[in-house]
Amino acid sequence: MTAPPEPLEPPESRRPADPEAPSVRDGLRRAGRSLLRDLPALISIIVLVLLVLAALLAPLLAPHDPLRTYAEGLTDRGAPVSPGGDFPLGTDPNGRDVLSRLLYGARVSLTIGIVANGLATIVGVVVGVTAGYFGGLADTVISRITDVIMSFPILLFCVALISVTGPSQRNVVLVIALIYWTYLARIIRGMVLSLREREFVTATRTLGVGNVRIMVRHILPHLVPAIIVYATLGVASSILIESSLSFIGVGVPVPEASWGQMIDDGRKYYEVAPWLLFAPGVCLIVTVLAFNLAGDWLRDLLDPTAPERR
Amino acid sequence: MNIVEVENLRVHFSRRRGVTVRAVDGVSFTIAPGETLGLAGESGSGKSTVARALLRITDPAGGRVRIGGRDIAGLRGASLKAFRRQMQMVYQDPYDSLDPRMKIGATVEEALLVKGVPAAERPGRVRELLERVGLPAAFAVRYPHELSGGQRQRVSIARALGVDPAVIACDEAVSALDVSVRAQILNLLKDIQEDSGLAYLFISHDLSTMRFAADRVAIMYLGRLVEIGTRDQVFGAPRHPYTQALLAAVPVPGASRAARRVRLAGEPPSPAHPPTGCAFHPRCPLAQDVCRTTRPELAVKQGGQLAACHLASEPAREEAAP
Repeated sequence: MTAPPEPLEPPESRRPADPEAPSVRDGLRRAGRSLLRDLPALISIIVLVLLVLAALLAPLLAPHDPLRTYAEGLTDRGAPVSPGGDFPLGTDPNGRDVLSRLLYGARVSLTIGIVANGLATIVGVVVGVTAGYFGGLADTVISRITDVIMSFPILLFCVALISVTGPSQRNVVLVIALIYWTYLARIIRGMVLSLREREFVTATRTLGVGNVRIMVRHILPHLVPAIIVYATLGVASSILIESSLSFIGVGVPVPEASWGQMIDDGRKYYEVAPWLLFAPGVCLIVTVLAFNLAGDWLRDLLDPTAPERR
Repeated sequence: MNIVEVENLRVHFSRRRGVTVRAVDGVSFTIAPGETLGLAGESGSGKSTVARALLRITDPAGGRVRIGGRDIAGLRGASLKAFRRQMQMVYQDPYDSLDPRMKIGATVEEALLVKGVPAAERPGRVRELLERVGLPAAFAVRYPHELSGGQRQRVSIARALGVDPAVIACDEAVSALDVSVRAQILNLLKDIQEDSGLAYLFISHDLSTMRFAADRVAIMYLGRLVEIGTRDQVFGAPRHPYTQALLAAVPVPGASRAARRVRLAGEPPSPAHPPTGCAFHPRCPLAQDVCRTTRPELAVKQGGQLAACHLASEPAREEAAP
């Protein structure tokens, strides 16, 4: 998101000792305290940290090569091996280790979920605030662009773009971001339209404060709850869009693993090998849930009017 | 010299189907330094629009506004920002005029930032400003929702004072407060005026507040001034039947009711379709044929104030006659 504007307070050294002055350390302490009172958020953040660590350390943690077909990974009849033994989460129909693919897949899926969605959020907020705050021509142009992008079926649009650019993880990230920013921009624009008419914004403008500062200091903070909600929900939809793209064959190129791709593969075999669906499915659900719960906590933490949680 | 000079100010809003609402239709007045001009009228009479035009929140359609001797029409960019330091406003709604996500100290500090006060001096100045409006300096770290309505209006006043303005418009600034708090805020405004020679444009629909706060009073009806004079002229001997009706409607303890009591019937007409002649004639108990056809202009009436009424008696000659 936008970099925090420079603090109004002068640096610690130049300011006379003031016991009531807020500091970064106080903020962190407050965050820590509220996290201890909010068990779901605490667990979510631990889960997210573990997930990121698992993705980063995949080469160390994975028991097998995720791309290799193991002879012992298939039964005599050529069926995938059930979980247990050498393959803790079983194998897929190609005889590859599911756990290893899951760990490497976390890299792809988390990257797409976080980077694609993060890009979409940043662009959506910047564009939405600009359109809503300035109105007029800027608003008209931006709104028509979002109309055009939103009028395409998402999947078809992705396929069209990727068949031009060629499938790769980077292109998938960019294409998802290119489409998703429009949704957030729309919502943000609407909120800014009403915010800019609020009396405190008028009061700030008549003070002689510049537009950029008004947008950053007086408009943006009020958008944070909505941004957090949509950004955390967007993580799930970005990961799922990637899975649909993989299913059609324009996602992350095979044989590289991604959770969405594994879910799509697993769907075909869920009667004989349910673990193929469950393992990535559970990972996806846990990730999405953790993002949402952590997002809720962050939203409350940033809202000075929210009652303290018991 | 007057700090505020408004000449024939007009503010129009265009609505659908080409209808133009003349919210303010030719208003002129002046405010001297250290003076409080009260602007009174019913809802929809255009009082707030006058203030918003003076602050360039709304752009006027015509007329001339000079603040501190400078024509404010057409100011852009840096010169507009510089002008804004001349005139500030305290708003009606104490719950919406402060950013709920910003601490009181930061809100007040923003005024100092705009004014170019060095960062090192700001915390001390914030403390001074809060104390000047009667708030403990410790309030700087509080959020608006932790304050009462009266305290919030004090913060609004502190923020306005932060840029060191020459004029402050108080748009129904005390209307949302209960009576005891209202008196405190009015006294605070008076104290500040005595200290610094500020001029106020004091907007209210409440005539008893006006009687307390204003040096001169202007009465607005449907976008035009119908009467303007000193407080004693307007309250003591109102010349316009609308003013008389407004005053008759105010319960004033101990004040003797005028023998000629005017009652108002009905709602004010829509400014989109103002009546012909005198805008007040459909509700005026004294209306005559001339009122329906000819619009009266503001003119000096008996007692010395200006009023826009055909029927109010002229001064001097009649008075002098035996």
